[in-house]
Amino acid sequence: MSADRTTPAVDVAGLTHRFGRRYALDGCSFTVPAGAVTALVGRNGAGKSTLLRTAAGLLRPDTGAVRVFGEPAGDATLPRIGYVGQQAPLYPMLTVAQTLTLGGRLNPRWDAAYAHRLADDAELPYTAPVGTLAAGHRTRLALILALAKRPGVLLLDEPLAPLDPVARAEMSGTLMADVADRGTTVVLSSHVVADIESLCDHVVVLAEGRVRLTAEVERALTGHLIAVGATEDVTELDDIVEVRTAGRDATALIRSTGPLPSAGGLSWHRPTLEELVLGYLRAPRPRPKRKVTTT
Amino acid sequence: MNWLALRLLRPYLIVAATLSAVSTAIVLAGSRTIREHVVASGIVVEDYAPDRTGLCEELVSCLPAGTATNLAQVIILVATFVPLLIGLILGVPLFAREREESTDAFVLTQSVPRLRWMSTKLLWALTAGAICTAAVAVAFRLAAARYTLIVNDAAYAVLRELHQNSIGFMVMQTVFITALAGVVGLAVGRTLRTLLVTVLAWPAALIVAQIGGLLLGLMVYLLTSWSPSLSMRFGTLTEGETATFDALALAVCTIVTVLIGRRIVAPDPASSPLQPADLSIEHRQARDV
Amino acid sequence: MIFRIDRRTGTAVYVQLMQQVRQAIRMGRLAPGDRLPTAREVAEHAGINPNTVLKAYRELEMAGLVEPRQGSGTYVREHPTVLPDIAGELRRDLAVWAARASAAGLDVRDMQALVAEVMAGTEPTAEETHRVR
Repeated sequence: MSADRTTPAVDVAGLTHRFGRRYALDGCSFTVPAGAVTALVGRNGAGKSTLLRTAAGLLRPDTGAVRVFGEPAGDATLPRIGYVGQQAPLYPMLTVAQTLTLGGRLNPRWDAAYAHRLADDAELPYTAPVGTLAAGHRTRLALILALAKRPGVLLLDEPLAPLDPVARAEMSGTLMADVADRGTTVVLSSHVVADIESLCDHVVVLAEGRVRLTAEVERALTGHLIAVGATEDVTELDDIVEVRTAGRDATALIRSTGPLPSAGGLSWHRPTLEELVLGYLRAPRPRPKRKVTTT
Repeated sequence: MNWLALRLLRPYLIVAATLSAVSTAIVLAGSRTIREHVVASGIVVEDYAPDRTGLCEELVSCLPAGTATNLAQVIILVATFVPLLIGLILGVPLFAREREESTDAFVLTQSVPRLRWMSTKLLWALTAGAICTAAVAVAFRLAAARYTLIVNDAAYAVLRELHQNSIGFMVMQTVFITALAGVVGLAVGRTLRTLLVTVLAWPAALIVAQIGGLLLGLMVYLLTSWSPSLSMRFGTLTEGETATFDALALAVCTIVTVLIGRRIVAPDPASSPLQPADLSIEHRQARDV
Repeated sequence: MIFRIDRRTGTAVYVQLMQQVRQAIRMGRLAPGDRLPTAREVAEHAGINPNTVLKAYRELEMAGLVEPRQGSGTYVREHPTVLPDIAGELRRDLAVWAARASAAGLDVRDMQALVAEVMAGTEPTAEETHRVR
């Protein structure tokens, strides 16, 4: 599918979008390499949905652009993207079977056999109207529609949130199998890091419409350290991303590619993805001159 | 896309078709009853012809007020408001409901270009509206128009301006209202607001159509004035011709509306980036970005 | 073999995969010549990014435990260098040490932390305490 591995699957460049006077996105830039699974993490209202909607061609940004496999997001890129929005809107009066048929009518590369296999696996009731399905089932149907479209990029907005634990595991498996089989690029948003830790190999941290961190997960983890110790020692460290103090002790997330020091006064460890993401989410808004993003 | 457009239109299509059928039945049955009364009163009513000054003297009904005059009033009301109603039924939910239920986010991320999505849906709605109104309009014009003259009061004169005893004008009214409601829904994204805006725009649109029709008529009058034989046939500003020109003006309005809709759906990339081009609902976005 | 990912330990997923393969070889659940599940199989069954699985397999290959065979998958090597012969001796030493630590009131996590600290390097210099590169 995405044979050309040099063109990024998704290229977000200087994206700014406002709703009224509020900036939903404020100069966002990052790229998603083809075949990568990228987690878009951030708090509610950080701009994750706006970013995904823009990449899906549903929103036109005020400035900047999203390119999907080199083409501006829009009608031309539609066959190559699979988008599932929050609450997974589908036509409530159509049955599951009709919805799957509809997917076939609206998409030239539709894989009907695959869609039915996934629907069987999910035990979706074919004759039930979509409006009567539980939220988890509806999300699953929406994901099946996106997968059976056989896209190059899947853009998934909080895809696992409405699913029960079993469905979550099954859907993660289906998604990852598709990545293994076809090299599908995935961008999925979440505010629960634990949900996506085993899925993603790249991470983009969004806060207040800005990109705080965009990195390959493994490289980001080995590029940071967490120091715990007395506040005065911790705050003197260089390259601090974020410090939190509790009484006389403090914890700091630090940019460092060096080995794990075993210091007398401080205890050090490599951050987990969750700690890393939390550090960047809680970090004070960076001053414009200082470059925070690591790649 | 055709299948989806028709499937989504289906409930409204059923309502509109039912309304059309019932209205046609009322018009036909009503005119039949009136004819019986007229015959019983010994009055001869000729076929309806435009510009006949009227069967009866001003303010004096040739039939005593009763079932026949009441029925004639009902028929006039049907002819006046059914084209509007059919347009509203088909046009208001066309895009407003999709946006309200966010299903636009689904359909617009399949492999269908947004312009085709809009034009397919609009085309089916316009066609359906035209057919539904045409049934009523034809029945009204052929069977009932000749009797409407027995209702000879001021209200009748006003209402006549709204249907103009013309099949073309009535059909075009539905077509225009459907397109207008559709495009307003596309821009507003709320069913109730779309309904309100469209209803408020209706009288304005009629006035525009009248003025446009009048201008067209005058233009044709001036253009044909050099030739006696042509000016006998065109630019005569007769009732039938005025209605046709008004219908033409409505057709122009419809085209303009659809073009505006096109811009909303797929704005020219060269146009100002500040144009609110997205199909998102502002306050929904504000809640969950 | 079936991989099991604990999402709360904070241990990187590929490290967990490597540990489980090592463990399986050590316990004899994976014998020399056995095929490891493909990245796709692991991805589907455990919901793990296939790139992560491949990364774990690459690391295992570098550690001399497994070898890829062109077109057919990844296999456990004939003589996997899981643990050298000295392992038994080291294990006994560790058991003694663990008993002492236990007597001193350390639990398993404390011991793991100590091991990690020792493995991380020598005693820090004064400068290192304050400046990390």
